[in-house]
Amino acid sequence: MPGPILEVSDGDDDLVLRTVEREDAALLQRLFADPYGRLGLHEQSHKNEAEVEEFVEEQVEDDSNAGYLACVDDEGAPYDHPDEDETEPVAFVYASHVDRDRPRLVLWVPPEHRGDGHAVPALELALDGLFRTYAAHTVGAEALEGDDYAREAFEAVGFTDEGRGREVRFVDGEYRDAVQYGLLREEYDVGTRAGGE
Amino acid sequence: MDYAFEAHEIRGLQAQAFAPNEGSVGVLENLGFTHEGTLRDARFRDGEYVDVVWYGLLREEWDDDADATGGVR
Repeated sequence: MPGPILEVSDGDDDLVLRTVEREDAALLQRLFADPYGRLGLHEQSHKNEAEVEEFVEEQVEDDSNAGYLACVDDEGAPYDHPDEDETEPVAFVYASHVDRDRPRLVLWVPPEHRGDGHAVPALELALDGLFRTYAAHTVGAEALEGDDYAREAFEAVGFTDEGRGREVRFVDGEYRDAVQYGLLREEYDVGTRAGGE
Repeated sequence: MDYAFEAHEIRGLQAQAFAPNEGSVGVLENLGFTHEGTLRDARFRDGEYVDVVWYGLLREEWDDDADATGGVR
């Protein structure tokens, strides 16, 4: 299960960002079973659980990347290590190259939570954390044509459509366009979503 | 490019350049690449943030008889 709380939503959605732990590999393995989800991590095929544990240890735990699990906590869920019945992970947000010019965001929501309205607040919490923690001037993201919930979420938090690579990724039986999104620090007000400073 | 399209079953080619680099941008346009996007302030270079331009060329847009301009191999 996810670890300690990193960011807390000001809204009424009870959402928190928690750390990704090695035991979350089983959940993340489902991302790699999703042809759109894994493409965001430049993976063309599925992975077994041991490979996903390796992904957590080598990528998520690397200082140049940052992984977050957005969770809905039960009342009384502890700050540090909730049990399985105390919190429900509803979105995975991953930022690569946080130490470089333009970190790149990946969003994945387990299919049973799509449409629950957690994608946008999860992205906002991750952006709050990123812009507070790292000196990035801009953040980028790529979403494939056909990956509608991800595209809608990036647009809803204020990303600008900066172009489209035509037929650059082969996924789900055909070549698909990849939409490039960008968000400048000056376009994003950290923590002001719910009447902050 | 001829080699890439002839030797490999690729769908297309992608290229990126710093927007202020008019030389590279000009070469890509002369080769028939299409400007597909501009990532704003995406890189820090020579003391300032610069846009990165993305170009793409699909196989059906590739003209293997084209007379490549200026030193592109």
